Parts: sequence; C-alpha cells; structure tokens
Amino acid sequence: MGISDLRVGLIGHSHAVCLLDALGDWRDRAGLSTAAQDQRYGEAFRGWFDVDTGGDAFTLAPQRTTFPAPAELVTCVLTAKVGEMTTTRNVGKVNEVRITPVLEKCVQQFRNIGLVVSVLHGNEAASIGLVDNHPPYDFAPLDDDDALPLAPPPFQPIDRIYISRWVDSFARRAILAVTALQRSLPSTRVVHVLPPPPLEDPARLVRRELLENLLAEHGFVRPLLRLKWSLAYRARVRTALEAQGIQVIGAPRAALTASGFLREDLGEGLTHGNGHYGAMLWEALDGLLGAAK
Amino acid sequence: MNPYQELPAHHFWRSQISTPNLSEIDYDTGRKFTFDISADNFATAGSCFSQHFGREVARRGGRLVTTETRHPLVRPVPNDGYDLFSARYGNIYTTRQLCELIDQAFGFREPIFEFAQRKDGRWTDLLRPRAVGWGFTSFEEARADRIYHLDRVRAIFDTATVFVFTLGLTECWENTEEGFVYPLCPGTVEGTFDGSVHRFRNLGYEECRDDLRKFCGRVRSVNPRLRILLTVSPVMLVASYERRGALQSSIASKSILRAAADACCSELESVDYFPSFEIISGPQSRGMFYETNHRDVNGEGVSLVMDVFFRSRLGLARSSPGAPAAGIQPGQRQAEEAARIAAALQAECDEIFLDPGLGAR
Repeated sequence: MGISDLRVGLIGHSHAVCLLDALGDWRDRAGLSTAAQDQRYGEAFRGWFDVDTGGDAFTLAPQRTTFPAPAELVTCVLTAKVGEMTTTRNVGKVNEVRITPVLEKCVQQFRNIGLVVSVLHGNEAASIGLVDNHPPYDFAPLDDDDALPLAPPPFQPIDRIYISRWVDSFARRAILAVTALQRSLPSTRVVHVLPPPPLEDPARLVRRELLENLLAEHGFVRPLLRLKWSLAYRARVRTALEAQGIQVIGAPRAALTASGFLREDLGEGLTHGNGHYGAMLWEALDGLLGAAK
Repeated sequence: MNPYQELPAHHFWRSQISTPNLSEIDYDTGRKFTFDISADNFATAGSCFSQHFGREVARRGGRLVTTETRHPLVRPVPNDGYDLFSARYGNIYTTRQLCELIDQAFGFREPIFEFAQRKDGRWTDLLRPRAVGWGFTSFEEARADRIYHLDRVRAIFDTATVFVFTLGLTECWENTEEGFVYPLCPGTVEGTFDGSVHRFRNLGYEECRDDLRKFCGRVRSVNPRLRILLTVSPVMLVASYERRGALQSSIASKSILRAAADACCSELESVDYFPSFEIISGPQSRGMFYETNHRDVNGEGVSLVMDVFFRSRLGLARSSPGAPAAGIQPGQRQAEEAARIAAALQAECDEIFLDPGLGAR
C-alpha cells in the first residue's frame, strides 16, 4: 500500500505550504486566496499573516499528479495568526506539557486517519542562521562532519556545549508539538517532515520576508555557518522524535546541491521549499511507507 | 658638602617613610612616565594580582584593551576566563610563560597544543587550564580556540599603548620534550604528571631578565609606541618545589623578579616599574596588608596600591574621595570596597591548586 491508497492527515505551519502547492490549488479551501499579498513574501504566502485558519481542517482530493499523492488529504494548515500548539508549566520540578485548544481541534479532525504528516514549526533557527548580527564566529558541526571544518580567525570558535543549548531552545517547540500530536493520536502513525536546508545564496532574493530590515542592516550569515545551524536544528529534532518512535523525513538527496544546500530551483523565499520540492517530499513519504511494508 | 645633601627628601628613608599616614607616602618616586586616562589604552597580564589593574582601570573610566571577549552566543559561567585580562590567557606567572605566549602569537614558534582529556570527556588547554575552566567538547575545538586565542593576543598590541605586566613566580614546570612551561604543574588542576617529561624549573635572574628583554623587543617591534609597566606581585608562593621552605622561596623569587624588572627598567626607555610589591610588603606596612595567612593581599592593600597608581601615574584622586585615607588602619576604608577586592583576590588566584591541603577542586 502506497500513499496514494490512503486518506492522510496533514498538519503544519509554513513549511506545509510546499506539500499543498504540489497538489494544486488549495488556498480557496483555507480562506487564503482572497487575502491581500504581503509584498515581503511571494504569492505562496498570500494571506499568511492576515488569516487565522484556527485549526479548521479542509479536505483535498488530489488528482492527476505526476508523483504519488494521498487519495484524500485532511489538512490543518496553521497560519501565522494561529497560536501555540503546546503550553508548558512547571509542576514541582517537572515541566508539564499540555496541548492547546487549536491542536486539540486539529487532533479531533484526524480521528480515524491512519497516517498524519506533521510539518509543524521548522523556522526557529532561521533567524540566527540568516542574519549576520553577531561578531564573527563559527562552531564545529554537532555530528563531527569533517566536511564543515572550523573557520580560522577572525571567526571565534564557540564550543558546541553553548551551541547545543541554542539548538535545544530552537528545536523545543517542534519536538513538543509533534510529540504532543503523536501522544494525542496513539494509534495513528505520525511522520514529521523537517524543513529544507538553506539556500546557498539567498542574497539573490528580492523578497526578504520578515527579516528585511535586519538583513539590510547586517547582511547574511555566510553559507557554511548557515548550513551548520540548519543541520544542527534538523539533527536535534530528528534525534528527539526518532527516540520516541516518530518517523522523520528530511530533504530528499536529489533536492540538494553537492554541498548540501537546497537547490535554488526548489526554493520559495528565504527558507521554504516550493511545490516542486513538495512533490519530492510526497515521493519520499511514499517511499517511507513502501520501505515499511 | 657630599652628594647626598642635594638629594630630594624622598631619597631618605626617614623623610620618605616617616609619616603617620601610609597613603601619603610618595611610593612611586623615580617614575619614568605617567599615563593619560582618556588617551592611553591599557592592556594587562600577569599573576592574579594584576587582575586588579585592569578591573580598576575600567572602573575608573580608563580604556582597557580587551581583544578576547565572551561571544554574545556564549552564556556567562563562573570562571570562564573572560573579563580578567586583555585576552583569555588566565594568570601568567612567569616571564618564560609570557615569552612563549608572545612567541606563539607572533609566529616565532608554532602554536603549542597541549591538551588533556578530562574524566568527563571534555578537553582542557593545559596552558590555561583555569582560564577556560569549562574546557572544550573536542580536541578540534580546543585547537581552534587556541589558534583564535593567539590571534587575540597578537591583536592586543595593535591598540595598546600601555602593557602592565605583574611578575609573579620564578618556579615553574616545563615540558622537556616540547620545550615549554606550564602555568600550573600538570596533575594539579588537569592533566597527568609524567616525571619523564615534566621537569621542575626555577628561573634565575638572568633568565627572567632575558625573558623580559625578549618580550619587550618582540612587542615593541610591532608597536613602537607601547610602554611597558612592570610590577612584582606581593602575593607569596603557595608552594615551593625547591629544597627549602615556601618563605625562603617566596623571598628568593620576588627578589629575582624585582632585580630582573630593575635591570630592564635601567636598560630600556620604554619600560618602567611600579612598586606595588614595596607598598604591600615593605616594613612600613608592618604586614597589615596581608591576610591572616600572611600570603594573600587583603582588600586594604589592593586599594592602597590602586590609589597610589592612579594618583601617581594618572593624576587621579583615590577611588572614594569621601572615604578615609587608604590603608592606614584596617577597617578604616569602606568595608564594601575592601570586601569586593578581597573576594576577587580569593576567586581568581589559581596557584592555590598547588596546595592540596587548601581544598581546591
């Protein structure tokens, strides 16, 4: 059984847009098509900051795709207006995590669905990885990747013990949200999709999104450092979720340049993938299901 | 008529020292140069006592050269080695250690990568084991940080106009295979002592003098306007490895260092000496500036040294104009100030690790 035989759930923030764009028009169903376009973003994020989708699901029945697509897709797309997925509070010495009403609403709409694809969060490390607003620095890749050596002075080497803390703080929201989702749907298979790696040369982009002013002032982080932050974030989320039995997929190898960046033709704005990239992710998801057979 | 008759009063012990108020003594007579708090850029290095120079220069509005700072992405942790000296070298106790650091920084010798892995798996730079107390996650990061550190040491001399160096010790331990000295004997804080490699060394007068000459030549060749102010730390040795007691070794070491500093001052126009050692340990103070262990300098003493320095070299009044005169009787100075300095002294003198009986880590 492949993905095209399944009724699938999809829940995600902005990185879910590429998966939806791969399937055709969906913005009418989400109430986004008539919203004004934010000029800092491309057409893909029309209405993203104006419309509160509020956890309401809509259903798509993709047809005539050139890649394996779900037979039916129950989608909760979470725009920028939608609040947090989880809350935490200290109970004694323990952090108690609770799902918010909006995530609860999404969960209710995924009852009786066998597979839910999560594309929750994913941009938490984007700002630090893009805006060059710190004194020159570098850090060793958290996975000891020899291909990404530490840069010499004037770059100040920052020990991984400090970088790990930052990465943990960025990854925490995604890890908590996806974990909460899986625990709320214990009999459902949840697969989490990681954000794509960065573009090698985002300076070519005209639209600078929310970072326009900061990038104008500070410029872009150099490519290898940007890649290190992205790798560290993605590895942290992957490790934490896989430890709980949640499957994780990242960018397909074919979507990457030889250096590990997202291919330019697959990018949408500063940090997202486009519909072509989304199609590659659907193929990867289908492959994951096939591999599990 | 004899040659002494024409000398100023301070040349005579009775007139220089015989005053009821220690803070009124002109300790710093014969100074070669003074400084400008608003124009000079002060860099500091040396034993723990020299930390006060930098701290006080900054506190009193001076410009402190700091080339190696905590990166904004690095969370402050205790004893992380920042904000003590101009770069993150920690205490530099010996003239040899200073020379070797400068030689590495300016490429006269290859960087020394002497790291040890700790029980917790992290790595320590044995050439600054306390300055980077957290150590490093990997050998690679330790190595990169040392290269960065040396770059930052070199950068000090781009902007500094005054380099204050406090000479602390003559005793040290050397690595006989690689030819360098450690700030602390391997095995006392980190690393493992290996008798076949690590050898005790007590630098003599000529060695200290030559080290200082070499250092001055090196840094003045890249920064000809740099002036070097030497001081000798009045803090006595925690431990001596010589076949004699710590008291004898302390006096021997301080004498050698004082003589080496004197020789360099006499020879080199750009080098001067500031008598912090004399202010604290001279008989006029009757030991009142030492803690009850007779080794560490108390807050009163540090305050007096700093007040003399700022008054004599910078033309500035004492730090707390409304406070009683510095250092006359313990308890007279504002307790807060003394406590602040005493706490700093206690916290950052890592030579203490030589004495296992003092409960070091």
